[in-house]
Amino acid sequence: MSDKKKDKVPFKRALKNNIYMLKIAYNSDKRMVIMRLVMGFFTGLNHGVSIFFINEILNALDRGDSLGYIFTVVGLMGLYTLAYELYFAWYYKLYFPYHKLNFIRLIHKSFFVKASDIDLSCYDTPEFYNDFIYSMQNCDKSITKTVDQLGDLIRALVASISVVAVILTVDPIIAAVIFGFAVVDMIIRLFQNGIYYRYNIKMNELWRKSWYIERFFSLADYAKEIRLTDVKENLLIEYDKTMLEQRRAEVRLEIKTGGLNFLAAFLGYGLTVFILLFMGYKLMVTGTVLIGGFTVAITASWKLKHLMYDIQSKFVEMNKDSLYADKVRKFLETEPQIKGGEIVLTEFESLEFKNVSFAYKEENVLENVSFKVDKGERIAFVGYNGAGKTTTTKLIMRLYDVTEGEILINGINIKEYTLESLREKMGAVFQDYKVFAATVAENVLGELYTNEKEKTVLSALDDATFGDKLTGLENGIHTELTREFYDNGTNLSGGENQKIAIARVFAHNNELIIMDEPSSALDPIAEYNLNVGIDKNAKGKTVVFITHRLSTTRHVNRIYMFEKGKIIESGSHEELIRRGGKYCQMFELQAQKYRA
Amino acid sequence: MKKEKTVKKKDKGRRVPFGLVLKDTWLALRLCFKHAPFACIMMLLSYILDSLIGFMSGTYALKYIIDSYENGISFDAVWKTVVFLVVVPAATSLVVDFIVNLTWSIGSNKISMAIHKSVFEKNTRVELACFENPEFYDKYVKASAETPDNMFNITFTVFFFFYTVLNTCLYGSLLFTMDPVFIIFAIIPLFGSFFKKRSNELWHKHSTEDRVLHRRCQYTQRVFYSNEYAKEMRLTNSKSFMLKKYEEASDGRKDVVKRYGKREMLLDILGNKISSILANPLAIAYAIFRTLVSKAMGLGDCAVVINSVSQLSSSFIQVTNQYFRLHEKSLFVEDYKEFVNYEPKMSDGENASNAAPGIIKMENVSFKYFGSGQNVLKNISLELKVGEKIALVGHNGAGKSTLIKLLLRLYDPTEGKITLDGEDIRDVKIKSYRDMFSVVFQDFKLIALPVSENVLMRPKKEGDEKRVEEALKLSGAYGRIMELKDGVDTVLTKEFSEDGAVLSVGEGQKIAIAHAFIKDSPYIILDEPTSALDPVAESEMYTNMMRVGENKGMVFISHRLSSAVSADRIYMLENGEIIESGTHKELMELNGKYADMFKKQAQNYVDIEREGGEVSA
Repeated sequence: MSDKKKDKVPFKRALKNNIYMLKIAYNSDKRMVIMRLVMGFFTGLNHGVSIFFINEILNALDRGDSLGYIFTVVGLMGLYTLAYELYFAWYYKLYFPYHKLNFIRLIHKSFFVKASDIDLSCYDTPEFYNDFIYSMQNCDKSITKTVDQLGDLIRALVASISVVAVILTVDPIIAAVIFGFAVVDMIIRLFQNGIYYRYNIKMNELWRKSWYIERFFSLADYAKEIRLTDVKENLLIEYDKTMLEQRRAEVRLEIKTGGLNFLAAFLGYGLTVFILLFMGYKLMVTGTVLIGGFTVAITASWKLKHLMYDIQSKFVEMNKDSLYADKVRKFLETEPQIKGGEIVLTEFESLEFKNVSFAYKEENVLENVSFKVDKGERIAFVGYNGAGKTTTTKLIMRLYDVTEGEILINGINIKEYTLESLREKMGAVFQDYKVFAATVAENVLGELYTNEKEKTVLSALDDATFGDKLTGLENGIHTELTREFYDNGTNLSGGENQKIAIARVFAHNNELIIMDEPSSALDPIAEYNLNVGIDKNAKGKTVVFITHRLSTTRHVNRIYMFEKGKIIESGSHEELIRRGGKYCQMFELQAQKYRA
Repeated sequence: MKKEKTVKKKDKGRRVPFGLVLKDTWLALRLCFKHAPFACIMMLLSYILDSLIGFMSGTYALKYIIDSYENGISFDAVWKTVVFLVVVPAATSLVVDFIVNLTWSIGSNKISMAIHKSVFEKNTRVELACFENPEFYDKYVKASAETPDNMFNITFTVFFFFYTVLNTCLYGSLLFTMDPVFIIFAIIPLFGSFFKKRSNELWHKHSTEDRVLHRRCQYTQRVFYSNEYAKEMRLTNSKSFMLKKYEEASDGRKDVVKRYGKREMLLDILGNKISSILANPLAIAYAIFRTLVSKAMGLGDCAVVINSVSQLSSSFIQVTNQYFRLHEKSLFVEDYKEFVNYEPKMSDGENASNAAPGIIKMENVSFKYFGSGQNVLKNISLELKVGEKIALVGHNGAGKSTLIKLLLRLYDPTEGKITLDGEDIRDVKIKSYRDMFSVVFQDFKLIALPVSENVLMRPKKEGDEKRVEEALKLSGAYGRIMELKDGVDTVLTKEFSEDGAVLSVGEGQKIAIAHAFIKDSPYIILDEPTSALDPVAESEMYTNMMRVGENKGMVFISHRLSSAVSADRIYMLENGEIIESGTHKELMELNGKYADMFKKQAQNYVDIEREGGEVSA
C-alpha cells in the first residue's frame, strides 16, 4: 500500500534519499565532497568560457580589431585551457584517487561499526538481511557515486547557465527560445523518468532471476548436480521464461517511452533548424548579428542539447540511487534493541531460565522454558531439529532477548549486566564455525595478538588436540589461515577449523561454555579425543552441550529434552532412561546398532 | 608447465597482435549479428546518422550560411538548402532511432540469451575438474558469465569506431579543402598515442597491484556483514584485528596511488591533452594568420576552422582510443575462444554403449587432483552389486568423497580402471551411466526452484505431484513443507523473490534425501546425508532408505558407524587406501582400526546395555 503511494512521487523521494546519502558523505569527509563539487562547477563553467573565447575572437575578426588584440585573446585562451587541463588532470589522477580511498575508508569504518552493533536477529530476517548485505557491499561505491552525481549535475547546470548567458549577449530571443526548449524538454524527461523508475523496479525482479541462472551454471556449488541430474533443464526452462518476460517488459517500456523520445528528438531538430534559419536571417538580411554571434549561437545550441540530455541522465541515475539509499537508510536507522545494563559481571555463579518464551515473527520458538544451572555443572540440550535448542543458547548469550519471562545470572536479570562483561564470561563453539582470514593465534584469541599471549594460545591449541597439526605448520601459531589475504595461506579442513574454534574457548578461560554440536564434522576418533579434551579442560566450569550424538550426554548432570520449543523431559541420563520417555526412545534408536 | 606459462603471460601485460585483434573483433560482431541482424544494422545506421547530423547541422550548414553571406547570396536562395541539409538526415534519424529503440532491446536480449546458453552448455560439458582447478575456473568458467557483456562492448566499440572514422573523414575533408595544413594540427595529438600506450601499461600494473589489496578490503567487508561470522563478531573482539587488517590493506592502496599517481598524471596530459592545450590554439592562430595577414582565407572559413578544428583532432584521437579498447577486449575474446574450443576430457566415444545395471568394480584405482603431486586415492579395489549395501568409513580427509566422485565418473582415475560388468566405464555413455545413480552429497545446495523441482531435479511431468509428496514423506520433510505457503510449489531461497522460503540445514538435507527416494535408479549413494538430522529423523530416514533400496546397490558414507553395521561390506579408508574391508562382524573380529573406531563411538551406548538391561525391555 505505502509502496504504491511512494512510487507516485519518485522524484521527490529520490531527492530526499540523495540528500540523505550526501549527508553521510559530507559528515565523513567534508573536504573531499567540497572539492568534488568545486570540480563540477569549474568543468561546467568551462563550457561557457570556451564559447566566450570563440565569440570574442570571431567578433574581433569581424570588427576588424588589431592583430595584436586578437592574438592576445588567442593566447589567453591557450593559457586558460592549459590551466584548466592541468587542474583537471591533477584532480582525476592525483587528488581524487587518493582521497577517495580515504573517504571510502571512513565510510567503511562507520558502516563496520554499525554492522557489528546490530542485533543478530536482523540476520534472521531475510528482508532485512538482503538489504543489509546490499548496503554493506555497495556503501562505498554508491555514496561516492551520489557525490559524483551531484558534482556532475552542478557541472551540467553551470554549463547550461553559462552557455545561455553567452547566448544572451548574442541574442535574447534565441536565449529565450532555447530556454523554452529546455523547459519543455525537462518536462518530457521528468515524465519519462517516472516510467523508467517503475520499469527498474519491475525489471529488477526479472534481472535477478536471469542473473541467478547465469551464475548457477558458472558456480562450482552446483557443478556436481548439473552433471548427475537433469536439473539444468528446469533452469533452462526458467531462463527462457524470464528472458521472454524481460523482452515483453522492454517492449512495453519502449511503446510507452517511444513517443516521448520521438517528441524530444523532434523538438531538438526543430530547434536546430529554427536557430540556423533565424540567425541566418539576422546575419544575412537584417545584419543585426556578427559572424561570431552567429557561430556561437549555433555551437551553443548544439552544446545545450547535449547538456539537456546529460541532466536528464543524471536524474535517471538519481532515481536508481534512490532505490539503494532506501536500503542504506533502513540499515542505518535500525537501532540495536539489545543494549547492555550497568552491572559488571565479575564471576559466574548460576544461570536460571524462568518461564522463558521466545517468539520469532509471531511464531513461538520457545514456550515457558525453565531450568537452572549452577557453577561447575554440565547440562545437555537434546531433541529434534528445530526444537529450540540453539535458540536457547543464543538467549543465554543475549544474541536475542526473551519475549516473556526472564533469564537470571547470579539471581539478577541478564539485561542488567553490561554486554561486554556478560559475553566475556561466555565461550561458544558453534556447529557452523568459520575461521577468520587471520593468523592461528588471532583466531584463537579472538583479539589482537601480543607476545605475552603465546603460552595461552599454545596450551589452548594443545588441549583442543590441534597440537599435531600445529607442528606441521611452518609458521606455527603465526600461520595465516585461508587464502583470502595470502596465496600461501593455509586452508584447514572442517574438523581442524572446529578444533580452532574449540581452542578459542579454552584460551579464554570462559566460565560458561556452550558447545553447539561441536563434533558434527569430526570423525569418531577425533570426536573421542575432543571429548577427552573437554573433560580435562572444562573441570570446574559450567558447560552447556547441544548434541545429536547422545553418547556425549551420558555423563552430564542434567539432560533437557526439547520438543517443539518446550522442555518435555529433564533429569540425569539414568533417570531419563528409567522413565522410558522420548529421550529413552531416542537413545535406544541410536544405541541399538552399537549393541550388535 | 602449463601453470607457469599462463602466469608469465599475465605478467607481460599480454599483448595481442593486430591481426588477432581484428579476428577477435570480427568474432564478436558475428556473434551479435547472427542473433539479431536487423537490430544490429539499425544500430549501426543510427551511429552513422548521428555523425552525419552533427556535421551537417553543427558545421556544414554554418559554413554554407557564412559563405553565402560573404558571397552576397540572398537568404531566399539559402534557407531551402539549409532546411534540406538538416531535415533529411534528421527525419531519417528520427525514424531509425524509433526502430532502434524497439528492436535493440529485444535484439540485445536475444543475443545475450543465445550467448549465455552456449556458455551454459559448455559449462555443463566440461569435466568437473575444471571447476576445481582454480586457475582454469577463474579464467574461463567464472569469466564466462560475462561473455555477452563483453561481446556487446566490442560491438559498440566497433559502431563507435565507424562513427569516429566518419567524423574524421567529414571534418578532415572539409578542413583539407580549406587548407591542407590544418590536417597537421589535427595529427599532432596522435603522437600522444605513444604516451597513451605507456599510460595503459602503467595502469595495468597499477591495477594489478591494487587488485590484491582491494580483494583484502572486500574480504574484511564481508566479515563484517556476512551471516557466517556474525556470532563470533559479537562474542569476541575479532573486530580489532579485522579492522587492523582493513586499515593495512587500505593504506597499501593509498600507497599504490601515491606511487603511480604522478606518472599517470603526466602521461595523461601528454597522451590526451596535447590537442586542447597545444594543437587547437595553434590551429586557431594559424587560421587567423591566414585570414588577416596572408588574406588567403575568408572570414567564414576562419569561423568554421575555429569551430571545428577541435572536432577533427578529437575524432582522430578517438579512432586510436577505440583501437586500444578493442585490443583490451580482445584479451577477453582470446580466453573465450580457448574456453569454447576446450575439448572436455570426458566425452562419449563413437562406440560408447548404453549402461545397464550390473557389477561395478574399481580395479587398482589411484587418483590425484590436478596440479597436486599427491595421490588422494591409492590402489583402491572394490565392488558394488545391485542389491548390495556397502559403507565407506574413515577419518576426515581419508578420500571417501573423492572415491564416490570417481565412482560417478565425475573424475577419471589417474591409474587403474572402473568397470561395469567388465566393460571400462570410459566406454559407456556418460549420461546413461550417471543416470543409474541417485546421489545425496554432504555439500548439496538447494536451488532457487520450487520444492518439488528440488526433489525431482528434472522438469516436472504429469503425475509427479503424488510422487514428490511420497518422497518427502519418506525423507521426513513432508510435515514442514506442507506448512509453507504454497506447499511443494513453494520456491526455495530468496534469490528470486522475497516470498521464497529459507530452510534450515536439516530441512535442506531432508529435501536432498527426498531426491534419492524419488529417482528410481538402480544405485543410491549417500555421502553423510544426515549430519544435521536429529536421531529420530536419522533413524526413520535410514529405515525408509533400507526398505526402498532393498533391491538396489547402495553406498553410504557416515561418521555414525551405527549405519555401517548392517552393510554387506565395509571399507575402511585411511590416507587414500583401503586398510580394512569386510562385514561389521569380520572387522570387529579383526580388531583393527575399524573396531577401535567403533568401540570408541559405541562405548557410551554399549555401557548402557549392561546396566540398562531392565530398562530397554
